[in-house]
Amino acid sequence: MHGRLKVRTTEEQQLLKRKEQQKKLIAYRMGMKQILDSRKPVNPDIYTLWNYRKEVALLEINSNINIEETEKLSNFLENELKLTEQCLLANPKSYSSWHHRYWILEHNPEANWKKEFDLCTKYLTMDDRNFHCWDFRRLVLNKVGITLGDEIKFSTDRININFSNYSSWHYRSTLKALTEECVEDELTIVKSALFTDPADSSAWFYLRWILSDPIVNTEHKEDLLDNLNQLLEIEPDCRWILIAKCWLIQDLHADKSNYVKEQIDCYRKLEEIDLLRKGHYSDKLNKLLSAN
Amino acid sequence: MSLYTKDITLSADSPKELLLEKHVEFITKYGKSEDDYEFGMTDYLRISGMYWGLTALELVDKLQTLPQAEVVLFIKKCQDEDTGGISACINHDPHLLHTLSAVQILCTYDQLDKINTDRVVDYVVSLQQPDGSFTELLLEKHVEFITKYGKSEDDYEFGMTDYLRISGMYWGLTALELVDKLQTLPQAEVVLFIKKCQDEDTGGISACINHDPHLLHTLSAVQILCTYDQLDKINTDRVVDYVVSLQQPDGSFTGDKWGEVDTRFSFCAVATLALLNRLDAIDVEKAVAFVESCKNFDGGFGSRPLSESHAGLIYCCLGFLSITNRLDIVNREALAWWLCERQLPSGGLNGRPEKLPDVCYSWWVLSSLTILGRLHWINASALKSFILACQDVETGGFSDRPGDIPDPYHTLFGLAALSLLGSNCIKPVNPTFCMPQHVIDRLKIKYQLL
Ligand SMILES: [Zn+2]
Repeated sequence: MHGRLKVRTTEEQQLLKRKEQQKKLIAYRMGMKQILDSRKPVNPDIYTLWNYRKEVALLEINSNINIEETEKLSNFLENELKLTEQCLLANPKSYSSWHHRYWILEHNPEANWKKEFDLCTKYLTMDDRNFHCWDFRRLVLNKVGITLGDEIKFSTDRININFSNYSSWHYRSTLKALTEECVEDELTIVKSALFTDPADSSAWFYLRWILSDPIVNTEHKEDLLDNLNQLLEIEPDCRWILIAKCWLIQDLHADKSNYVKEQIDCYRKLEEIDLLRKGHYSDKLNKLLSAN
Repeated sequence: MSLYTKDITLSADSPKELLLEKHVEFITKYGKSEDDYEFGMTDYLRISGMYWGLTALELVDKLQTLPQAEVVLFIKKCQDEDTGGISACINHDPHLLHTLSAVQILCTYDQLDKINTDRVVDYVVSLQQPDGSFTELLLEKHVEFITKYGKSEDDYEFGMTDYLRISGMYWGLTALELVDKLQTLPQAEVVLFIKKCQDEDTGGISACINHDPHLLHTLSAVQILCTYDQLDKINTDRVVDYVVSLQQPDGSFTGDKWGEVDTRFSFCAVATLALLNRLDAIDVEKAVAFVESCKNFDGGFGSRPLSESHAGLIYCCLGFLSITNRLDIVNREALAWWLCERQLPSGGLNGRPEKLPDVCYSWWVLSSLTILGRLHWINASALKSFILACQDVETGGFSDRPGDIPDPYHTLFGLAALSLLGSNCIKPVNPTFCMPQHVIDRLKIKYQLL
């Protein structure tokens, strides 16, 4: 039960509500019994009802498969799609509804995957953090034959619309391996996000990932360290900048005592300004102090 | 950080002078209007309300407008005989907030001798936690909440949720065992119910009689029977057959025969088999390869290859790797950092970047950090305060966030998270199986922790 605000009620209201609920419950139980005999979802999470629908769909498909006239079957399958759409509008996180939708499409020899793909794109512009929809899009993508180039453009557009969209950064990470040709571009896009709002976490996770790739060379890292020092002058208390500085120093200058001291200073400052993660910074500090 | 700086703006026609007379009138009226709707509805904060009003009046030198003797008598009646604490109102439960308000009022009136102050001291002392903090864990209320929930077959919420009954039983029953109150549930009935939910054709277990078998409920059922030490009451060989039948050629598992693939089901499969000591029945190597293919750029895991990291699925994958003894494939540093960044200024944990905190993520994130040996990377006392704030002080039970409706799911994960944080009134919980540690020890189940 998520995000259901509790409203305090008097006993009388509670009694009334209980009566209402009892009526609903009796109706639900009767309906449930009817459904269990005849089949039709009410609550999208009642997985057994979706199973019944799939059983019925299989019967329809098998009995229509050799018939020339396909209209009856396609109407039936279209209805199933409509139903999942209604359920997803009510609960966009319903695992069962998403799965049923994909299952129906897969069992429809004439499924319109392109239309489905466009629907996903449209939905993501309304809620770009729904990971069910991202996952669904990935499944549909394979069916439509969208090119990697198209998807990289889609991800760049999503990031340009909203830098702080972690889902878009994640998606970007799945699209390509870093190469000599694209590494500059990736650094540019992540830097422009960091400089736009250094307090936003999303791009920092992406940065950490890029930095772990050997294709990012010393020169790139030196450059970035300079950039971060500049940014730190404007935002001296931004913990993300301090954390990223430490990664870079560790990579570039772990053997130089003046840099090690700078790293130690960063972690000491982090211990002070970010009490929630003090244990994390203390571990780092102790490691540095015992090694030097 | 813009997320945490939501604020309001003052409109131009807001009052600019202090309306003293009006305030005195407001407060004295408020106290008298016993039949007023607002007043009637707020008895759960009466004593604190008295303190606010009374102190406000004294500050503007109008204390005499309130009936002192009545107020003092009311406070006296609110002192709880058992604990010495003071409640908001007669017949309500004592609470530290109202205890302070009462003492403040009596100090102002110079009438401290009208209550038993030694007992007030006892009450305050009894509330201090091992870590020095003073937030209350309402254990008895939670027990009441869960046992009531299980019994109320005609309850609306209960009746509408039969599609998750067996998992619901696991949440409630495990929560009760963690606070050593398992005997309040009718064991024989529960075991019989599970027996009836085992499907003859497949061997799998369904959420409820007449529903279809599913891996989620199969694991819940096995967990319950392990806790009760009653595994012999179902056909466990058939359960193994069911789990084996759901493994796919790529090593993944579907939740049932209808083909939904998810790393949650990989966890359910190996957890079920490990509890039955039959991990050998599946192709573990392939199963590990599938989970590894779900690893992301941030070190986390998603539901399928290339799916975004999510704390719930990270727990499933780490639990899976803990059971299969393959935590070596984890990028420990990157993942532990991502997980500790889930803690928000409220102390609560979210499941993904830029999302709201939720009590159930206290469990998913905390158990993951425990498996990685990095529990100390988050602030335990801040998290504890958040979890305790999600208790429903009226009915017992925990909700996802303060002020929402409680349910058994968040009650288990709230208590289990408090157990991982260390508590002397909750039994140790196993971070991999989310079951009482003593059950895992009794069954000699192996699991890996870093
Ligand atoms: Zn939750």
